[in-house]
Amino acid sequence: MKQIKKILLIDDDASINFLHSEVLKHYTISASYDLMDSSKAAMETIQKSSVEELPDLILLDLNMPVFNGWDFLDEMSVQREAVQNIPTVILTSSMNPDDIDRTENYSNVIGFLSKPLDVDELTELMKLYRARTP
Amino acid sequence: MKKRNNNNSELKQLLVSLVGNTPFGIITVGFRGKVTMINQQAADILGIEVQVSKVLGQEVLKYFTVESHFHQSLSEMLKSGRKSMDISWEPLDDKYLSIRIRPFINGLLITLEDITDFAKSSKQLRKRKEELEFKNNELEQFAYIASHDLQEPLNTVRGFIKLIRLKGVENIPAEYQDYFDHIEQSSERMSSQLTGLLEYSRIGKHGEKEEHKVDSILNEVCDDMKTHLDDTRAEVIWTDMPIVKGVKAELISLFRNLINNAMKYVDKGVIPKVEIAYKALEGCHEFAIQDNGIGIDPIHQDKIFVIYQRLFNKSQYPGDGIGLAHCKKIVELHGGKIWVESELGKGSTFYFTIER
Repeated sequence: MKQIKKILLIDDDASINFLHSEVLKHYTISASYDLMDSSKAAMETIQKSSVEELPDLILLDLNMPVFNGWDFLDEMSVQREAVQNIPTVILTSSMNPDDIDRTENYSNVIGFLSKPLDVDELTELMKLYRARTP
Repeated sequence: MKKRNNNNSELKQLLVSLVGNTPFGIITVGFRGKVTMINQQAADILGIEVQVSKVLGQEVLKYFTVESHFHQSLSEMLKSGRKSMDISWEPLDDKYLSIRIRPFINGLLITLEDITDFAKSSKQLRKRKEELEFKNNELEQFAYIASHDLQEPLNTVRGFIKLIRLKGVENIPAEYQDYFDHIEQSSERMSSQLTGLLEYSRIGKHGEKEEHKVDSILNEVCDDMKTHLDDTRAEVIWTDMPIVKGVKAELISLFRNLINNAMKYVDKGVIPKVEIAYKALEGCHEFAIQDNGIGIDPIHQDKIFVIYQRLFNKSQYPGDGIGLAHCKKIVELHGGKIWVESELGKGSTFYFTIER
């Protein structure tokens, strides 16, 4: 199983983003973490990154001002193939069935989790994802 | 003979003065639709400017605006021979008339009443009602949004608390551990209060009213509370229960809150005993939930149904002050009332009704 080297966390609420990274650190889910409270800035960083610098997993908040989670996903889908394929987990505070349906359009979205992040749920999602992809 | 004449003229005088002084406009009409009598009030109400004597023998329809709904109804009535009708008519923007037509000697009796003041105030009332409904809606919406949005940062706080617990608090000074316990308890309490408020704001939005067996509702409530019932060795009993029309989730919440309350407020060492009784009343179902608890002083009995009002310190009897306010809102949405009969030290009986 491939080791996760880098997780990118995007949430305009810096506190909950920090909380999530601390929880992930506690369980040593990844070797490093990038925290971004602006999805726009996160996208700019991704665009400039080399393939080696790209994150192995993105945790993405949906409800953000100006450039929200959906905008971010749309922008991802027109980037390099390596970017298009970054597995992404959506984190939300309210599970809206319409939102869940909408993610079907994005092949790199591997799942939906409610905030605050539960590590067991995340590892479960990762397992399912790895079983699907060779 | 002379006396009778006297009586007749007295009676005539009485009638003339009655017709002349009544606040109602009066018109009598022969069957062909010709005016046989009209008082000044009727002329004033209809805005007839000619002398009333000139109106006699004229077609009554002339005096009601041709395009009006009333004109049409009256002309149909004169044709069909129907003899009774009540109608309200708005001849001008600022004027409202109530017109009643009844059969009368060889024709019709029409009474007119200017109800402008009444109509205006009821229009105002209607407007106020709409405004209030709108504001109430907004408030409910506000409670929903506030409780929902406040949960988010609170969840972050709770997340950090969990993380600290996960990493262990043994290494921090005892004094701080104590502070930490308080932070944890307060945030849990706030979370449960917000959940309560959120649920409170959602009452009435849990779907349509349907028929439910109260017996199965009570069974469901007791199943949910099983651990709690076992722990306290409480006894919850009921006899024949009806089928009621209501929203299931709300009926469950109503009984759960009342049973919970009945069990909670007991003296130390007393095993709670809750009896639920039913009475069929005209137009409604009445339920009574009786307990062997500490009772409620009559001076506090109004307070208990108000949201966030509590009678006890949390360390005595825990709670967030939402339960009974919740019950009241549910009962009222089911067309009923809720009240309590109780004496200190003698237990309480909570009653509520549900519309049939």
